[in-house]
Amino acid sequence: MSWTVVAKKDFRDAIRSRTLWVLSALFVLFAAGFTYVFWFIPQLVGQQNLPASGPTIGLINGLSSSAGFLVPLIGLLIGYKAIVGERDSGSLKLLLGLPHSRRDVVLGKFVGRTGVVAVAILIGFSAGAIIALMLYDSFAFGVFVSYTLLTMVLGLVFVAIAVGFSAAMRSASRALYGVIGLFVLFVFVWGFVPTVLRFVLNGFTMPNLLARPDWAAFISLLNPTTAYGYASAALISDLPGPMMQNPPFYLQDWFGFVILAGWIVVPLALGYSRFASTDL
Amino acid sequence: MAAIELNDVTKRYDDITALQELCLTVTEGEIYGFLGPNGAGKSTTINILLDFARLTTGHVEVLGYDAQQESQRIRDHIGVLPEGFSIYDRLTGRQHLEFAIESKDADDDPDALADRVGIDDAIDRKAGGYSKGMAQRLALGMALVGDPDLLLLDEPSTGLDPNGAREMREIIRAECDRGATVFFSSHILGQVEAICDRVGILRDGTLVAEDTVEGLRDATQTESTLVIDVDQVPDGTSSAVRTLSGVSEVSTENTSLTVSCLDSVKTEVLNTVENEGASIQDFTTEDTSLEDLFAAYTQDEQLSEAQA
Repeated sequence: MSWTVVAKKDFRDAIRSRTLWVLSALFVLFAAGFTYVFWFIPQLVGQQNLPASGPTIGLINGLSSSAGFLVPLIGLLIGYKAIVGERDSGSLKLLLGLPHSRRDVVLGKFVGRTGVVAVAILIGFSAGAIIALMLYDSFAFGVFVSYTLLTMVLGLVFVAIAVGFSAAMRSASRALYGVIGLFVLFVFVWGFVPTVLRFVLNGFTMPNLLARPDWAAFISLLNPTTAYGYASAALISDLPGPMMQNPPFYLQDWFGFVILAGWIVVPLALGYSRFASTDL
Repeated sequence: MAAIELNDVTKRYDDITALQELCLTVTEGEIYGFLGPNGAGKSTTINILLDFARLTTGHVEVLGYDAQQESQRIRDHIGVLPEGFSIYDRLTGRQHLEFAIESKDADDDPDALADRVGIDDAIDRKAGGYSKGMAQRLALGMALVGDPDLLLLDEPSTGLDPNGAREMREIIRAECDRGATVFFSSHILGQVEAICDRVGILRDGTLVAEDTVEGLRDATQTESTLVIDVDQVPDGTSSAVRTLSGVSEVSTENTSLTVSCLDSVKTEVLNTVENEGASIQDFTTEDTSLEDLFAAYTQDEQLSEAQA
């Protein structure tokens, strides 16, 4: 179980370097701040005659749109240097001189950095929950816990992507370009991809945007932040899910979990296989 | 069982051949000095032993384990001082040692290790502030964790002052006395001569010589300088000595003869001097320095080819 030693060291390093506290403060500011603003401007939370989970759902909806930006950014920035940073500095030779396999290093770094992001999210969202419990007329605690867990999973996904890059690249700057490119792709570009594809396939004329074919919806879903939305809807029944009549299985809300799992496994596996076969 | 066994190891980087069918065996319990000029392939060899680099062809075993397939098991049993490493700036010396102890599942005392490698007064300081020599000592301390069966030390005296280099040699000797095998690389000869059981000289990716320090000396047939003090120098002594094959130069000063000759004819020179009627009071030999030997192996094409 040598990866646990690597993971533990990595997590402790984040405490020593105060990364964990800075991140936690950021998430406290984000989640608690959001929760407070929602209370302060009640019309954002929704009408009074909503079901008991109403304000919570409103809050989660609001949080989601920003978390879908913040969590990927944090996950990528926390993860990208995990391995390649040590390779650049030369401490990787010290690490691999000890009895750790390269798989232990990839897995340990992934778990350690995920721990950092997850703990920061947990602390931030807990602060949000405390404020909600104090201020809101009703607060669906269980729903909020589910949502917090799911946001931690989103953090895990982006740490996995970043650690995959970190294992595959030969220099930290290349890994950084990689994750920045991916961030821009998922956050700003991906939403247009299905439409552009349909435009091209339609003979460079605009298709009927209301009748979206399944394959175009699936391409959207491949974006992990979209998959996170699907998974949220699967987990929290009051959240609006994909608006479709009898969708095929790969467009049902639970399929978001499959996509998220894919984004954990594939980058790590690709990164590891490159790292495992290379000369240091 | 051999501690290290390399069989026909070739390592190519793109179009550069770093190692060319290298064969090398290190016996258990010996101190093996791995010599060669910079760029000869020493670090590549050590990187292959550690599975940091993959060989192109050939077979490598360390402590009986396959270096590529069973690297983790190998590293369970060895201590490593790599070349071109860096320590973790934010961790203290103690945290480094504790990490090595935890990684090796050992139960060493960090303070005792720090004391042994001479950084006991800095153990609780952040290693980011360590000098190159202190970082080297810390890494050696990490390598000693868990009483390894084999120590792999790549240029261990890098950054050490002469005193530090001497302490390094003492630790190497002590580890050998404990029963460990020590394999270390160096491009500096002074360190090797004093402690190695055997020496391998690497040049351009192949082993050009492998022997004890004594054996290498004999094999190279380089010259020694023999200074003979006699009671008197009878006429004809110096010409008689000069005619011996293997003698290149003789000079006389008062009652002292200075003879440059091959190691193998030293006895013959002494006999000749006595036969001429001189009585030898004392004589000294200035051995070829290992420095000269090294130069002979790594620079002289013909000699090294003859040896190879």
